Amino acid sequence: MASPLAQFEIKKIIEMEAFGYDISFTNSSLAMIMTVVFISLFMYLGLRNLEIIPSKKQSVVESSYEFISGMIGDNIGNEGMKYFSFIFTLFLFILVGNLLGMLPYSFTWTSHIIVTFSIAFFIFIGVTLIAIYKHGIVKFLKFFAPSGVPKPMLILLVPIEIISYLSRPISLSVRLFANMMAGHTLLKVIGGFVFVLGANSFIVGGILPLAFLIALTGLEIVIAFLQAYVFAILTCLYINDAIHLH
Amino acid sequence: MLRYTLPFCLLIADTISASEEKGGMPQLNPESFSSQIFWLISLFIILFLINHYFFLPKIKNIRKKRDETIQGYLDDAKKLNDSFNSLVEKMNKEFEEVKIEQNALIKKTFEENKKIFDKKILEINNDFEDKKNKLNSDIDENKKMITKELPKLCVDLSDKLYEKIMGEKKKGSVDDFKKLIGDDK
Repeated sequence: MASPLAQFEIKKIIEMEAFGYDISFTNSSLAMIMTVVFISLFMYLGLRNLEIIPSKKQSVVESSYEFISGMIGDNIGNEGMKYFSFIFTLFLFILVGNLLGMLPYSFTWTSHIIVTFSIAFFIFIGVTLIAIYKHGIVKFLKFFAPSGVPKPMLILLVPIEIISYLSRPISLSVRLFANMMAGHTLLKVIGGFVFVLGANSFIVGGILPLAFLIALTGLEIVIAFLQAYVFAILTCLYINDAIHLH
Repeated sequence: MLRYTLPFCLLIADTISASEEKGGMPQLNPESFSSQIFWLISLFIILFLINHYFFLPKIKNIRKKRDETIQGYLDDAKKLNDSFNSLVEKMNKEFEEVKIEQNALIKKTFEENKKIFDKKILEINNDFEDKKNKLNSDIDENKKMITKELPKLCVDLSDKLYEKIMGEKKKGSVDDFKKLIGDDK
């Protein structure tokens, strides 16, 4: 039987190269394209016939808009509305990426650390630039020295603050990657149990792991949503820190 | 807990095995990194641009339009409510005026009627008083006349009774009768 990790393998579909770098079209790229197509289709169908009294499809799209708008309003305030398009796209991109990964034979591109780290790193750089642009480099550096702390404590606190700040992209990316990878590996392992136990006990032995597998699939769908939400809300909090440095 | 420990165990195991043999965790294979980063950035930018310039403005516009429509309806409702309130106020004012006018009219009518009634009562009382006086004087007159005539009538009646009983005529005197009954003064 194939390894539970085999599902994460990147398979080249069309080989491509640019400036000496491999940019081949892979199963991961296909899953990402499917994600973009799905989101575009979702938005297009929802917004095709715009009405003041919205249809069901329009309501779904508008509620996703309201959801993100509320999230930004609660965590950043009105100043955060400038970043609405980015956070909206980010949330939907990760959410649909996670959910499409739940389909059999599809690929979960969010289970790759390089992808999640790239997004997290981009957010980290963006947030740092926003903070420097808004408050200047001196005020930004003061962010690492909390006010009201005795000076001797700063020797200990400043490195902790810097490490904590620098570890943001790592924690953000590993959280999503680890959750997705663990969930899918677990599903694959339990799926293997269903097959092996079922084959060795005239199907009867496979029933319990199958029930467990179904329950876990439901849990994974919830986690897919939750991780996209966590990613988006942490991005909001980082942007809030950058705007309001405290 | 299993969710978090499993990938790290796999990660450590894979890092060890990766040094020994090719394979293990596909996530750690750097060969695909450039391709994944390229497609991620490209597709994310495309999706961002589609959302930012095409879909999100549509949602913003329709929500703005909806808010304006709702605000318009609210304004209309407020105007209607205001006009209704002013109408009610005007109606109440008119009602109060009419009420005062009616009360004055009722009071005036009542007073007029009372005057007429009192006048009539007075007239009836006067009339009654006149009639009573006249009746009293009539009674007195009749009484006097009867008192004056009564002895003569009694004498005549006794003459007639004497004639019937005794068979002879006899003329009685009124003065004798008065002496008889002790009324000769």
